Amino acid sequence: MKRILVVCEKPMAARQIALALDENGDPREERRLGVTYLISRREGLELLVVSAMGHLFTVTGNDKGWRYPIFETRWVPIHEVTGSRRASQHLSLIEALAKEADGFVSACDYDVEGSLIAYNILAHVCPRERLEEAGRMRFSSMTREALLEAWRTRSRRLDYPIIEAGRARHEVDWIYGINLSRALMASLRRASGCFRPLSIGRVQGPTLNFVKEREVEIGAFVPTPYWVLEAHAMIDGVKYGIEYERPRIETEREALEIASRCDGEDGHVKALSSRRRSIPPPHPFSLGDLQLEAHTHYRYSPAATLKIAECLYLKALISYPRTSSQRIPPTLDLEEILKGLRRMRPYGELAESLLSKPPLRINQGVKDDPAHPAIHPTGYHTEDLSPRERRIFDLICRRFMASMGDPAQLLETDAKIDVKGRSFHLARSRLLDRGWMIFYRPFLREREEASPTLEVGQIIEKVSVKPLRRYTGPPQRLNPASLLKLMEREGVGTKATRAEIIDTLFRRGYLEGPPIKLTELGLVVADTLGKYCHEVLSPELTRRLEKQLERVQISEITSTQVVEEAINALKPILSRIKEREFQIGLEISKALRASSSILGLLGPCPKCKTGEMRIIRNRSTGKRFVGCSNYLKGTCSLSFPLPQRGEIRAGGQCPQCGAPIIILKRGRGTYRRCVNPRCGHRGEGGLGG
Amino acid sequence: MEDRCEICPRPRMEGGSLCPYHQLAYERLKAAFEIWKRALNMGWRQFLEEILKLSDLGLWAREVAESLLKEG
Repeated sequence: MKRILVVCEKPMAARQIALALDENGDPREERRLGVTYLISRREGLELLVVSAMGHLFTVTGNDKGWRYPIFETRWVPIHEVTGSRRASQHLSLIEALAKEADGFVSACDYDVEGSLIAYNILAHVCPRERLEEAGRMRFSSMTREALLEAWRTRSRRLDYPIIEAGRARHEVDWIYGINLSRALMASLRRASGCFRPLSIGRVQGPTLNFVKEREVEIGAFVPTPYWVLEAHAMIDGVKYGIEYERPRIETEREALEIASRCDGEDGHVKALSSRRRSIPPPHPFSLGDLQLEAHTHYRYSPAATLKIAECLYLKALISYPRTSSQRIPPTLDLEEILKGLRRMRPYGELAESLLSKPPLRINQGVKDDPAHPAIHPTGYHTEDLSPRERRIFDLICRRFMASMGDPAQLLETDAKIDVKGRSFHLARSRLLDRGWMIFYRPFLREREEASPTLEVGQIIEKVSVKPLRRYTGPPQRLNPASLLKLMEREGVGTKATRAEIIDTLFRRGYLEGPPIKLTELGLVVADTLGKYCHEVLSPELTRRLEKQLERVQISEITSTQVVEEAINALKPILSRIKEREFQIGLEISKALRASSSILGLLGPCPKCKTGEMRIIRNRSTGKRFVGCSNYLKGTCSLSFPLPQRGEIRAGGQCPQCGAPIIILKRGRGTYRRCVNPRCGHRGEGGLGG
Repeated sequence: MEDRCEICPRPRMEGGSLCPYHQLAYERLKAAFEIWKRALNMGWRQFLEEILKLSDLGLWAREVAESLLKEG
């Protein structure tokens, strides 16, 4: 019997694929070299279904020296770089199974990363002539039908243009990351003799700069005053809020003048108007849309949402989530999916209402993705869901049904009320027909507003008008979801990598929060790069590269051209850094010292009296604590724990034990307390909170 | 240190006494003062005292305002 090696991306995907492809729906489980694989039988073939663990190969340099620039790359098994035993076992198993196989099929996720994962493995284990015959299954969901269709229509060739684009992306990112990071670290070492891990990459740079720009606006923000008129009118015994024609008044004098002229006076209805407004249904989710919505309603980070969505995909409940599409292709059987949803308790009536009113039409979004449709449920159901999975699944199902709903109809009315020659408005809106909102109700904020019946000329007695002073507010801090949306809008990163880039910036210690705040270290790195190689912070460079990588995917240019172009763009940046290495290092070193004195120092050590108590981060756990600066000299080991969330500033010395007092700003509250847990003194002067 | 910002340990801008962030905050304070003056007809000192009461005042702007008040 002929044997075909089917390479999948993850163990759970391998299980679903083996189950779907086995003619009896009962694949045989085998274990070799500590790794499980499955054997399915189909069309007289024995399918050896094996999984990778994501990437089993990675890019590395050609030599082991610590230098820069370095432009030569090679692909090696990932365990040679990370030392991962599991990765080594998986690769050994695939090597062993490949020797027994007569044919090869890639069944990894149909995108750049999936195609590259399978290619790297197959290129490693297949003889050249077999690699050229290797097939590719393409699917957008893990349902049995989709997988069988993908098997039946599998191509007789791997998707080389996508693979090329993937290889180029990894190589370019590696070259940028290693060279720029080493350039920063080498500069610091040359100027100060110190080594400190600093890193930056092609996508990290512009992302860090987005946060820096916001931070600068917030840090230098000065509120300015304006006035609003808080006005009320009693109509038929009910008090209604009415709005002055100008939402903001610039001077106190004018605000007082209007208020004293109108307060307590009668007004009359000068004009009435109304209009119907139609609110179209939303489009189905792209990954970015889902991540934003999940953050809005559940505060899930983009990375967490992606992880949950991937679990739902592997359970065959939703389509492939790494998509930028907001469109559903006409070939998708909407009726079949709705029939599936009809069998689920929360959606039975909702799905039925759509099924009973054909034709089914989706409100398509603008963005498209040639590889995958917008995220949608498959119609499959399982009770085996965690609360987080259930919430994201609910969001996807409701959004999918809402996108097929009718437009909602709103009636907007406006009454213009004249009080002593000044115009006020009583604006109201009322939902006439909920339309699609029925499906998406848990995620909407509906307000029912009472609306009086008015006539032109009607007298409104004793309108009350009070001037209130308000202040302009700073720009909002970014959160992981809004930063991701900003990256998407600016064309920085890809749908698959954005969430990971944000996480990386947190791990590097450049960001903290949420809400996201730039750390002093992040500010130092962004400042230095901005001064000496601003291109690294500009979205332009990375956006251009993304465009080139897209051209590789459609075979317009080769990956070699893209890598060469990226190297040519990087060379002048690196030589500029090299020329001013000492100066750059000096500035980083000064700034780092300055930043540690801005945020890190909390006051003298109460034990040795000569050291400074400073905030230190544990390099392996990233957790912060207070320690004495004499610890490195071996003369004092005093340390105290610190709260892990919130901004900490020095608040003086504790009058009881002499340890530092910290001022902790967390959320809207500000707390003051001694760091010594045995003391617990709350410091002088309560700050509240 | 001579090359340090008057407010923080960051290097100061060429020809100035503040680092770029405190300098920017100072310029924003001056621009905002014009609005406050027009709106409430108040002087510079009173303006500084008023804004220090506001929680939305940026950290760098706050430090500049505190330093200006201290200088008198």
